[in-house]
Amino acid sequence: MDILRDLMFGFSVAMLPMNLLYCFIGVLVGTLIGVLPGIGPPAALSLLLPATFHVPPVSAVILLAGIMYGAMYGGSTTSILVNIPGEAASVVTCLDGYRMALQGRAGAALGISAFGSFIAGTASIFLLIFLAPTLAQFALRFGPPEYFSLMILGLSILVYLAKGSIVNALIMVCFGLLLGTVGLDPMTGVPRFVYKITTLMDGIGLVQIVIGLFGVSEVFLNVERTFKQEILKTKIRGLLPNREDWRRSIGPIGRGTVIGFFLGVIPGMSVVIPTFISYTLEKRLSKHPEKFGTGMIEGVAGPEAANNAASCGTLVPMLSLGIPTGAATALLLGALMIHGLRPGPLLITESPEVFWGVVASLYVGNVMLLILNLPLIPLWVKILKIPYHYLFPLILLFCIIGSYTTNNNPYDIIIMIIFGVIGYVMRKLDYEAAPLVLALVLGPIMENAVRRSLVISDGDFTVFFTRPISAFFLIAGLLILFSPLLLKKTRVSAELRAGEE
Amino acid sequence: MKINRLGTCICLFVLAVCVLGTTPAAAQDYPKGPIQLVVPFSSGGATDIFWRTLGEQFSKNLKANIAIVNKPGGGGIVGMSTVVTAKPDGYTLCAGNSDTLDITPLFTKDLPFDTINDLTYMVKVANFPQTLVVRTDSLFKTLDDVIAFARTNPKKLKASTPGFGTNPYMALQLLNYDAKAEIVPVNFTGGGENVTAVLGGHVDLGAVALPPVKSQVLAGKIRILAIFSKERHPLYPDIPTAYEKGYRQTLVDTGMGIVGPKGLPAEVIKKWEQVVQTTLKDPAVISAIHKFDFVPDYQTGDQYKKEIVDEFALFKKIISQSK
Repeated sequence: MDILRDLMFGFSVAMLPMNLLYCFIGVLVGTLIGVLPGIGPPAALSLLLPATFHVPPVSAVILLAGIMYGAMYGGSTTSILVNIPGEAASVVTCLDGYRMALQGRAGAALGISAFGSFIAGTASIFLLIFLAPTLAQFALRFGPPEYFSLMILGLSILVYLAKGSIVNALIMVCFGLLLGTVGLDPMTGVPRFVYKITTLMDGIGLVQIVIGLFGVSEVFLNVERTFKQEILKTKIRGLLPNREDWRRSIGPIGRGTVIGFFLGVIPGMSVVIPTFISYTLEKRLSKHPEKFGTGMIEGVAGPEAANNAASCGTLVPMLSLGIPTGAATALLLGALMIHGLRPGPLLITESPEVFWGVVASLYVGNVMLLILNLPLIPLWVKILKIPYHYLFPLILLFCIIGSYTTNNNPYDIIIMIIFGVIGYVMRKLDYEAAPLVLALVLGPIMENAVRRSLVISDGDFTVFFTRPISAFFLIAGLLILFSPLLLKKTRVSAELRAGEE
Repeated sequence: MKINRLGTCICLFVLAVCVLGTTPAAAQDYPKGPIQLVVPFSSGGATDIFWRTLGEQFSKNLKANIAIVNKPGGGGIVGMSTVVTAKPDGYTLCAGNSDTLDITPLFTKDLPFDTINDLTYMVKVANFPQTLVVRTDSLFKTLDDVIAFARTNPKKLKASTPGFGTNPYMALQLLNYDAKAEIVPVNFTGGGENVTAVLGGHVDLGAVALPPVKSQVLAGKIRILAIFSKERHPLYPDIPTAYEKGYRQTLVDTGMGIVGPKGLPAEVIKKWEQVVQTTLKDPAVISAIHKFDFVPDYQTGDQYKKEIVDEFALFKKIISQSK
């Protein structure tokens, strides 16, 4: 088969000692970057970009791609250990991953996260190889109306995200939507909620909000409780996931991979969204949905698989069409351009060694990452044993570094602190941060999508229903919203009948 | 600690050497240390990669390290505002382009600084051409087709742009003004979304900077109808310019240059002008710039400023007339 032959060719390129070295450096740097909160792949990529100028193109791209998904592996580490999302996509891992760590099961969480990422990454690579051209063409059919409907679907699953009061969750959604409007209006350039503060012109940074709401607020809460010294004294039970964990996680990993990959292919789709969808799907499918948020391993396995699959998915439009789907892929494209390569439909025919070499190195990189991450788990777990009064200043330091280095802007630190306080208050009053984050990500995409759709359709609202993909998502969203009503009827009548007997 | 006389003598000697060794901050010695170049856009974009590539070249000729720092936000305003308030010693500079310098001020009121008067324009480096494109299977084969259709069907044609207040957006508005057409802009966020919208057929036309579409053009998926420069692009001699077709006002070339805080010493400006002029003569550098589809264009600081000021006045006039 042609593809197998090309793949073998790719492996022959990827396994060259020099390329293996670059791959290793890439994934190592990527993991470190991922572990540090706030600093994401784009920052690392741009720092290392000049180093790649004098390096052959294949090696350069292997290095840079390694950084990209290395970061995805590393991002969950701090989420699980100290409730700080390594990057926005790891927010969901905080919800159950951190709880597991508090119960002494950090090793299992880290382990399933690493394995889940590996399985998802490997599977996605095969999906990429076989489906890339078709998927890329499909992705092009996503115009503004389709984005809008997809966001509606995303919002409708929010209801399931709530652990406690749904009303509180909805309030948080509104708050998140409001926060998303801050900045210059993308369609008309009018400043909204900027109050002449220059930093706010581009909106409030997602990274700063997330680090503040999750990481900093957790520090505040723990410092308050520390005098009781209860939290981290729980015995550490087992360093790796056990049989039971695997049994429960296999399904979520599979589903997460599919969700992550196919959603990641859509250009402009934030990697955050598939993780949320995976989480709520697992919650919905679980026999004990109310336990989600207290340390359910499905809530870690699914989203972690989803975020790795999604970053692989974002490579599809980039490699087959030459379209950047986000900051990281834009950098990769730039790197290709600098080396005189032409990313786009011609890449695979003009420079097959680049295309197949990169694809093969993705697999090699995944293996390397698994080997790298597993032995580190006992090390990470030991960190939890550091007395909290030494640990929390370090945590805060990393939070500050992470917030600052995104934009080299000191005001971002202030934003982080403000949201740390807000997060603290929210936790005290029983408001959850997850719905806020989802709304913050979805809101702007949705608003832009609906406005562009209406400009394109000259104000005609039926455009959302007449386009097949858009209609599909809208109906799916409505179904999800109303499904409890339908299911409740059957459950209630079953209970009634059971009660009568 | 016993301080003996020998120790004291040595200390005094060293101190004397330090004091006498310093000369008043002589700009002739510029640059004495690393220079920070703020790129007010996020890492990874064409602009960022361009400046990183050039930064290396300039470093060599300046014999000083150039550290690129990304400070994105507000179409370049956030990053530039940090340079406006920096010390005018030539060690904190900003990479500028017309998005930030003369287009954003047109549309956004109450900016934290005046882009024309609060900055020293040091040197211009290159032009960043903008284009009008369609999908290859579109019915429009030339710019004239588009204009003809647009005139008889006002507000029917939709053209995607990378955002409100960007250069392609300006180009579209200028074209509308010049050609008396009414093509409706649909503002996306960035070149990537822009190109995707055109490829997916969600809009009829696209106003795009040249680099993001290049690979699509080479693959035969997109056709460039016109370039909005004064002269034909050296790498694409077959593509007509809007200017030569008679649309004299539709000139949007995105002058990329370096600016600094107000009050920079003349020697610093001269040094940069020298270095840029030399660097841009190097064929390796020219070919590197061409890889981005940018066109090297050396102008002195004063010429650069004049260009921006003129462009600003022109845009202002047209925007006020089209309201």
